[in-house]
Amino acid sequence: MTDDLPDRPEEHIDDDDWLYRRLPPIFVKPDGSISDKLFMRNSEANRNKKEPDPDISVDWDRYATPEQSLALAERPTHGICALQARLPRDLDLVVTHTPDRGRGNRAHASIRGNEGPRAKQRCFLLAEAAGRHLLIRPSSPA
Amino acid sequence: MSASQRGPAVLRPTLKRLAQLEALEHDWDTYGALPLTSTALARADALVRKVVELYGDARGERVAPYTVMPIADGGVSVEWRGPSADLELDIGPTGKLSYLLVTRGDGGRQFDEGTDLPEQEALDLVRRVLDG
Repeated sequence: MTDDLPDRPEEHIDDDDWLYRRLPPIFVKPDGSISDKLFMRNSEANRNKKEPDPDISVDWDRYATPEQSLALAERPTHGICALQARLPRDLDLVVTHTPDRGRGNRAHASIRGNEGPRAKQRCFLLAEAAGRHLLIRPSSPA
Repeated sequence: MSASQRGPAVLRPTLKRLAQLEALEHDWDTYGALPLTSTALARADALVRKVVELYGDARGERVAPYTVMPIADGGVSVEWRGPSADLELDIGPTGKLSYLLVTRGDGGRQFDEGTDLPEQEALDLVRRVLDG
């Protein structure tokens, strides 16, 4: 998953490909569903101060396993959920390969464009779908 | 401490949860999330108490939020569930209110969302959800 990325190009992510998102235990609701806050604002990346995150970090399954994606964050109690790239695209979002050269993460990808009047609804639908593909369960209760 | 755990019995799990969220440190989500602001926590605390004060007598334990979630920008989200709709009331890091209302009906689900919500409108939304 991690390697030197000086000149590696960005690649096309197919609709059928899977995207992994790390899941803090605190985002699991009492009924086992996942909170849509999982897709809310990343404080470092979002400069427009809008709540839904217009640039959601994920890892592409072509270059990472769920275990590798989790290990990158060094939080063993967190989990991994997954989305197929088709879903955010069906919600008018853009899925693009964005290798993280600083951290040597070739799998890094972004779901972009979640702004505007349906942004919270999209977060809800992303979380609902991700909850159906919980690949690594968080190991401690919320 | 911005969120006191002392309050109505129906709110004990909510107030305990708010105290838990208060302890979250920088990068609690591994994607750079901020600690929750004292403003957001205090407003969440005040809002859930207001809902109990206004609507608790007639509705009993249904006035208690279903859950409370942190938001990566330092805000807090309070969720109420009702017979035909669920409401997520998001309190931003500066205390601003926004919401997502999911209504279930014969035609499927309907989504309604908004920002810069005045407090009275937020309280009206909670009442609508509780009463179905």
